[in-house]
Amino acid sequence: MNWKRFAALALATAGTMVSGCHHEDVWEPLAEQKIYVADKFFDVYVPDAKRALIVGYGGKIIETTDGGFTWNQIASGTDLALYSIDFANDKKTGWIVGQQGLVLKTTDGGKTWAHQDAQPWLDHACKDPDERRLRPEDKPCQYAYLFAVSVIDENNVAAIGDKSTYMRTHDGGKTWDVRTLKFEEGDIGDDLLLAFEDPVLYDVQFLDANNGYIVGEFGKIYHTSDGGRNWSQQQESIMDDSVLDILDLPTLFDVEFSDANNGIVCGLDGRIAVTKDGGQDWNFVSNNVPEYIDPFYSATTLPNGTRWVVGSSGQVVISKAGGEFAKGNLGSEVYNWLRRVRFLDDKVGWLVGGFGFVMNTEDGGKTWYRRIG
Amino acid sequence: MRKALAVAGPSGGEVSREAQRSFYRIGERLISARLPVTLLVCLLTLFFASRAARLSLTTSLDELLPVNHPYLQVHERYAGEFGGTDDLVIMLEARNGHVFSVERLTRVFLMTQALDRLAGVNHEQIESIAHRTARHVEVGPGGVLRSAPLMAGAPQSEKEAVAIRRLAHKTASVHGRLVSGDDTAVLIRADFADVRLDYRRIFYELDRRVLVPYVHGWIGAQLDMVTEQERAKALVTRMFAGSVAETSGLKKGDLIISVNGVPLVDPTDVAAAVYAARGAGVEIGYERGGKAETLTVTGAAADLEVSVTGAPRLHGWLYYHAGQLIWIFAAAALFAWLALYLYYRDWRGALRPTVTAGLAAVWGLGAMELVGFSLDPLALVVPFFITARALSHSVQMHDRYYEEYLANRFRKRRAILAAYADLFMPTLSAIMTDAAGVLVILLVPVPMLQKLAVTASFWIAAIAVAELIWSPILYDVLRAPDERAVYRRAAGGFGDLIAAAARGVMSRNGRLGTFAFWIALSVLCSTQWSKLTVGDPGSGSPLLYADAPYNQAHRRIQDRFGGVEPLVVIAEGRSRDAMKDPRALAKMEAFQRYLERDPAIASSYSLADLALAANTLHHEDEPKWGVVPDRWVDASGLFFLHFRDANPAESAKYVSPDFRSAPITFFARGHRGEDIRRIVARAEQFIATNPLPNVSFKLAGGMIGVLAAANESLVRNDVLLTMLVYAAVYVVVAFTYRSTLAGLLLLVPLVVSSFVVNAFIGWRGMGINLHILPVIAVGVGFGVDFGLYLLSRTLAAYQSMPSGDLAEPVDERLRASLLVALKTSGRAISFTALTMIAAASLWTFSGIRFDAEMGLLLAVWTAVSWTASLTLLPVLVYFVQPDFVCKASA
Repeated sequence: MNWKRFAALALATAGTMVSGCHHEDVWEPLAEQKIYVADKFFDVYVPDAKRALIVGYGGKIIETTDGGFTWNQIASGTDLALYSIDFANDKKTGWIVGQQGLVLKTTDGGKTWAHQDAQPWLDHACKDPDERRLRPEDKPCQYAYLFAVSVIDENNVAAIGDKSTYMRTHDGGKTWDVRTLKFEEGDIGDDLLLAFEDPVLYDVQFLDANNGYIVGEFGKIYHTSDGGRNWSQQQESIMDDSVLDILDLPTLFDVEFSDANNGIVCGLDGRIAVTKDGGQDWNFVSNNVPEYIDPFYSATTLPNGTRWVVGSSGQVVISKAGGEFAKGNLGSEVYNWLRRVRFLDDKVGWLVGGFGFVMNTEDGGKTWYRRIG
Repeated sequence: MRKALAVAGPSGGEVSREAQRSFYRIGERLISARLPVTLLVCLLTLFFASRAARLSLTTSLDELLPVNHPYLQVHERYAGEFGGTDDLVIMLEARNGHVFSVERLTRVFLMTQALDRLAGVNHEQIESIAHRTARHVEVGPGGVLRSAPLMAGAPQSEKEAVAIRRLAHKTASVHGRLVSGDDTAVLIRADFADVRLDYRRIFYELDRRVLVPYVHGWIGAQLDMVTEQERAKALVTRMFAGSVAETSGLKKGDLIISVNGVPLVDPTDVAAAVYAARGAGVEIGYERGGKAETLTVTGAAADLEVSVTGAPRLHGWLYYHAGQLIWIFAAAALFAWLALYLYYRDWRGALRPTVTAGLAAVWGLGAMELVGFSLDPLALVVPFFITARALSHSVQMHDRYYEEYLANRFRKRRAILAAYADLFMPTLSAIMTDAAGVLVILLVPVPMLQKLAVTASFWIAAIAVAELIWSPILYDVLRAPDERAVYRRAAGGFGDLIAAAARGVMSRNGRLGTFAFWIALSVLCSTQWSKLTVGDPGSGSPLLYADAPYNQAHRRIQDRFGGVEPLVVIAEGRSRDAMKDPRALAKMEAFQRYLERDPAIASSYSLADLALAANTLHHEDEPKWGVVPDRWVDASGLFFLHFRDANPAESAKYVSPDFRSAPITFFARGHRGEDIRRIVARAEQFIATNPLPNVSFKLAGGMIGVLAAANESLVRNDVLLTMLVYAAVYVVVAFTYRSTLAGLLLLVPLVVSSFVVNAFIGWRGMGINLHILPVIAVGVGFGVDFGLYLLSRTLAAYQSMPSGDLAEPVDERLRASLLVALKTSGRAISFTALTMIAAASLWTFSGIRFDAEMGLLLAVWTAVSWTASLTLLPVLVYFVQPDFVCKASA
C-alpha cells in the first residue's frame, strides 16, 4: 500500500481546484436615489429659473440647481412630513412647517435648517406642563399639524393648521403667538356646531404685512387687513345655486392672490372659485371637465394671467387670462395626485405630487418634463 | 504472461474460494427450488404491481420544503390568512386604449367571478378590481364615510366605467398594484389553498372557465346558464355594440341551444368552439321567440391579451407536457432493447435486463405508493436513474454468463452457477452500496427526500431479488444461447476496441495522460462552479424553456407590474391590537421603504399603507393627511371606519381580526437565488437593528419566503447528502474489501463525477433548486457499481494468476490484472454506459426543460462515471498498488 502517493495526489488536485473555484458573493447595492416612487411631495419653492426646493413626506427636502437634471438631498433633521415651504424676498430666510407642529427655519437659502420650538398645542391647556403630565397615555397632548406657512419678511411669518390653529411670529420665529381662530356660527344648530367648529385650515397667504387670507374645511375663507389680529369670514359670498346650505361648502385646500384684488381658491369636488375684488365677492367657476369631480389642491396665477389648477387623480385645468378653464395637458397621462403647482414667472414652473412626482416647465407649461433622481 | 492471464478463467474474487463454493451451492439450491421461489417472487410482484397501479402523478411541493425551517413555520402559521405560495396571477392587457371600457370591465368582472368558482381557490385571497376585497372609501348619505367595493357589479354605462376608473386611481391598494400605472393592464390574483392541489385540473379548468370564455373565445356577449325542460341553454343577457356576436346576428334574449350541431351543455361551450375553430365559422343553434334558428359566428375578439403566471399555472404546464414523457420512456426502452440485442446477438440478452428492470420498477413503484411518495413530472427522471442501475447490474451478470458459457465449453448449468458464484459478492456489494448510498438520505430533514430514501433504496434492493434470487432460475428456464452468438460476441469489434483502449490507458504515456486529463478536467470544472447558483438562476422558471408560453407570460407580467412574486414578512404583536400602535405602523413603513431600495424589490404593501390611505380618505382626500396617525386611538378609529362595512375575512389579508399581527408584502422582480439571499439578509439586518417593544417582525412567507427557506436548506442538504452518500459508499466498499484504501479509491470516480456534474449544472445555468435535489440524491452514488465490478475483476484476475507469474514484479502483475478486468468487465461497463448515454439523451426531446436537462445530466454523469472508472480508477490502482489487491494472492 502506498498511502503517501495517494495522499500527495489528492492534496495536489484539491489545492489546484480550490484555487480555481474561488468565488466571492458581491451584493448589489441599495439604490441611492434622491427621488423614489414611494415619495410624496407636498410643496415646492422656486427661487430662480434653475433652482427649486421640494419638501415632502418623511422629512424629505430635495434641491436642484440645474432645472431638475440633478438633485441633492438636504438634511431636515426629522422624519416628520414637511407640508409647506416659503421664503422671504431675500431668498435666504425661509420656513418649512409640517406634521406635529414642526417648524424649521433657514437663513442660508435652504442649505441648512434649524428646528424652532413653536409649541402649537392642539389643546391650549397643554401649555401647562402639569396638564401634559397628567394626560392619559392614549390621549397625550399633541401639537397641531401645520399645513401651510406664509413668509411676509425675515421677521414676520404666519402658519396655519389643524383645528383652526393660526400662529404668527414677528421676530423671525424666536417666539410664536399661537391661537385658535374662532367665529360665531349663527346659522348652525347646536347639534352640528360640534362638527363645524375648529375647522382644519389648509392654506394661508399674506400679500403684505396686513392683508392675508386663510382657507380650510367647510369652505372657510378668512381675511385679515390688520396683520392677523382680526379675521373676517368671506365664504358667504361664494354661495350660489349649487351650494344652498353653508354646510355644503366644499373644503378649500389652496388660496392664492396674484394682487390685492384677484384671487383664486380651489378644493373638494373639483371646485374652483375666484374673486376680483379682494374677496368681497367670491364666485364658483366651472372647471369645464365633467369627469373632474375629485379635489383640486393647488391653484396659481402667472403674471400673464394664465391660471393653473391641479389636484387629485392627475386633474389639471388651465385658463388663459380672463378665459374659461379647460383640461390641461402635461404631455402624458398622469393619474396620481398633484399637490402643488408653482411658477416663478410666465415660463418657469414646477409641479409636485404623489408617487415621487416632479415635473417642470420652462416654456409656460407647453412642455413639461418628468424629473427623476 | 499476458496470454496466461488472458485465459485465467473468470473465477475467484474478493472472497475466499470456500465462500465462492457456498454461493455456487446457493445457486444450485435456487434452481432446484425454482417453483416455490418463482411463485413467491411472482406473488410479491403482483402485490407491488397492485399498489403501483394506484400511483398517480401528484405534485406536493410542501414535502420538498424543510419543514423545520423557521421561515416555513411562520409561513405555515399565516398562509391561510395572508396568502400562500400557490398564487395564480392573470394579467389582461389592452391591445389598444385602456381597460376601463364597459365591455372590458365587464369581462374583468366575469373572469374574477369565474376564478372565484374554481376548485381550491381561497375565496378570501382573490385580488382584482372587480372583487369585493378591492375597496374604496366614499361619503355616504348624511356625510357618513363608508368603505365599499370598487366594483359592486359589472358596469352598465360609460359613466359607471369612468367612475370606476377614477376610484381606481385614488385607491392606493389598486393603482399600480392591480391596475398598471398607464391603465392599459389589470391583474387578477388568486391564492389556492395550500393542500394537495390537482394542478392538472386547475390548468384545464382555468382555460375552460376563465381564459377561453372571456378572452380567447370572447364574442362580445354575456351568456348565462338557464335550464328549460331539463335542457341546458345559454341566455344572451348582454350584448356589446360592435361585437362579433352582434355582427353575427345574435340578440339579447336569444337562447343558445347548440354549438356546431351538438346540444349545449354549458355556456362556455360557445367560446370553446369559437376558440377551437381558430377563425373558422362556428354554427350556433338558438331560439328566438320560441323559434329555433341557426347563425354562424366567426372569430373572437382580439382586443385583450392574457398572460398567466404563478405556481399553479407552472405546474399545470408541467402536467401538460408530462404526456410526452411516456413516449420518451418507450423510446428509451426500445432503444435499450435494440442495443442489447445487437450486443448479444440474442433476444435473451435484451430480455434479462428487462426482467430485472421491470421487476425492480414494479416493486419500487409499489413501495412509492405505499409510503405516499408523490411522483410528479419533475421526479420522473428518478425512476430512470434507478432503472439505469438495474440495467448495469444485469448486463454484468449476463455478460459474465456468456463468458462462463464459453469458458465452460457450453455447459449451461455450470456457466450459470459459475457466473452466479463469481458475481454474487460484487453484485451484492454494488447493490448494497447503491442502496445504502440512497438510504442515508433519510438523515436529511426533508420529508420528500426521506420518502425517496426509503423507496429508492428499496427499489435498488429489488434489483438484488432479480439478480441474486431469480436470475439463475431464469437462465435455467431459458434456452442456452446459440454458440455462434456467444462466439460472435466474444470476438466482436467492440471488445477489440475496448481492449485497445485499455492497453493505451495502461501504457506509461497513457497513465500520465490519464492523470493529466482528469486533473485538468477537474480544475476546468472548478472554474465553472462560480456559475453554480443556489435557487433559480433567472426570474422565470428554469423548469421550462425560456421561450415557453409560461415564461413569456411571466416576463410580460413582471415587465408591466415591476414584480409580482411575494415575500411576506409578518409583524407579530405580543398582544391584541398591537397593530394599532403608531410605532408599529411607522416601523412597518420604514421597513418597506428600506427594502424597496433593493434592486430586486419592485414594491410593497402593508397595513401601514392602508392606514396612510385611510387617513387621507377620512380627511377629505387631502394627501397631507397621508401619514401614520400619531395616537393609538386615532389609528384604531381609522381602522374601524375602514373595515366596519367589510366582511372580517376581507380585512384578514391586511391584518388579523384581533389586530395582533399583519403581513408586510414585498413584491420581488423575480426569484433568482442570489437576489433572494440578499433580500432576506437585508430584511434580517433591518429587523435586528430596529427592535420594537411590543412587535417583532418574522420572516418569511409567500413564494420568496418559502424559496429562501428552501435555498438555505438546499445549500446545507446538498453538501450533507453528498457527504452522507460518500460515507455510506466508503463504509460498504471498505467492508467488502476489508480495506480502507479500497473505499477511498472507489470514491475517486464518484467525486470526479460530482465535480463535473456540478460544473455542468453551473454551465447550463440550471441552479441547484428544490427539484434537482432528489435527482442529485439518487445520482451521487451513480457509477460506483462500475468501479466495483472493475475492481472485483482485477482482484479476481490477480488472485487467479498462475504461480509461474508470481516471480514477475508487482506492478507488472497488477497491470496485467487490470488489463484483464478492463477487457472483460470494462466491456460490459462500456456497453451499459453507452446505452444509457444514448437512452438518456432522448430526454432532451422533452418539452419540460428540467427533464431535458436532467436527461442530459444523466448522460454526462454516466459518461464521466464510465470514463473515470475505466481510466482514472485503474491508473490510480496501478499507481497506489493497494495491499488488498497486491497481497491478496499471498
